[in-house]
Amino acid sequence: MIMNSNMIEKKVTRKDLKSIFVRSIAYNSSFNYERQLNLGWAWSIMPILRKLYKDDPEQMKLALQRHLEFNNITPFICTVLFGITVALEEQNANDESFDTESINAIKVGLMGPLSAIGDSFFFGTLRVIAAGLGCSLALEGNMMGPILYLVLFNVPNFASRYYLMFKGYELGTNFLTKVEESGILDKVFKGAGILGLMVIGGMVATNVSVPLVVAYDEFVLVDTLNGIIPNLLPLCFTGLIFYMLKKDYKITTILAGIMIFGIAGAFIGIF
Amino acid sequence: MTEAILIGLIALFAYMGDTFGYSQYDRPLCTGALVGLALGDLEQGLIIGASLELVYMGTLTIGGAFPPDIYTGGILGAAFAISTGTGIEGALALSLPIATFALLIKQLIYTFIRGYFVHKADDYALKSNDRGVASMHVWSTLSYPVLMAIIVGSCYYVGGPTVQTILDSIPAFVQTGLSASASMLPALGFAMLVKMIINKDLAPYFFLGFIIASYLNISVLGIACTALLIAVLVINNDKGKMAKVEGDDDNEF
Repeated sequence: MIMNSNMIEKKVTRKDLKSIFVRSIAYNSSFNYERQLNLGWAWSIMPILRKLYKDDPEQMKLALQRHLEFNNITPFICTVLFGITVALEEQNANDESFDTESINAIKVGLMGPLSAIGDSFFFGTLRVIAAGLGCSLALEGNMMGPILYLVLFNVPNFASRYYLMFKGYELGTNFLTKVEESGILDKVFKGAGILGLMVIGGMVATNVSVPLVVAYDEFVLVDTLNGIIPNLLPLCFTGLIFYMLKKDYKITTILAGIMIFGIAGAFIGIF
Repeated sequence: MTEAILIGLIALFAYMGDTFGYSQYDRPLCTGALVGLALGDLEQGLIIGASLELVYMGTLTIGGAFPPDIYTGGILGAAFAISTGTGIEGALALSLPIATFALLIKQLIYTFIRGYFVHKADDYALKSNDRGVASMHVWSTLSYPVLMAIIVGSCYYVGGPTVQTILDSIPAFVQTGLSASASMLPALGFAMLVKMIINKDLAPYFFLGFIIASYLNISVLGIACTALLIAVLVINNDKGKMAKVEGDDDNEF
């Protein structure tokens, strides 16, 4: 480690970034329930890890573990986060005093907010428009329907991946040069945390639902609960899962539990 | 038999969609056309695919939430409708139960088979084996499409009526239960994210986001914008305090 300061600085090149862009095309192909897109993330960023930590097994181990953590960002814009993360890893490889915790903290904090933007643009807007136009042609039996749909969606898809790869890296390095001047890292930590948590809080309200159908005459349980606080059930349910994670329940157990709860609940008629 | 193999290959291709830039060709609009080509009736394929697409347009994967598996639903729905000549109604009647059943398979694979690859990758990471970790992504990627191709191809081979009988034999409560659990599952992803970020200082922001979304019905993008502003305000505010109390980092909140 001491000889690190005497070593030649490790530099990420444009070619390295391009290879991540290419790999990012298969970033979300190995989705799993436990940590979602973590394998694809680790696989995509691998060229950089190899470049930076090839001759240091201990650093390589830590880096691999860092990038096998939970991961999920809208794939169409994932390269911006790859770019930022690469800049942080590059700094880490060249600076022994660098706090590796910050790499994951920034990565995780930005995932939610960036996905909110990416999902709503690509899925909420672009795909709906492209599919709408494509369907109207295909309904007349016109082969151009699916083709138009694919072109409309995928030109922005690939352009955004390519552009954001370099933009993300630039953002990351610019940010790091400022870090050295002041304690900006703590601020970004906190900012990313605020952004991330608020967005996740909002998504709990909008994307989780516990579809109970328990009712007795005029009394409908879900309506009553929502009268207290809207979306109270999803909040409590997420809280319960959070508590189980804290208690180190295995994720597979929780997953199986949710499925069994759903089916058993439907059997006794509460869903 | 040839047709069944072709349908299986279309399924393989569709389920590999995530590998090729998540380019959304796995949706009924495109797979319908491919099925039409394979079965020799492109026009029907296009029309049925587009009709299914319109029905399922709203069902998207957002934040780890999973709608019924419309890929299998789209392919088999269109294939049976064309081969039996039942048209759009037939496609719709079959595709939803098929899609719900396929969701069950998906949940099992995503949990257990792909979970296995994740744990294996952890072991490789412990040994600093970068090649091992990378190969787990490849195996995990291949596992699901290959399995689904076999299932979809076999389903087409045994034929629509048989598939219908099998689906009918699954009790209704299993289907209801599956879609109930699918709407609760995103909670796990969110809880995992929260666990990674949260600390005492930041906890209120989670509830702030929740309350804003619940009471004001603001979209997630709206919340992201609000959150960005709040983050900037809080950090600027901290800066002012920092100037007064130099070095008192821990109590700044």
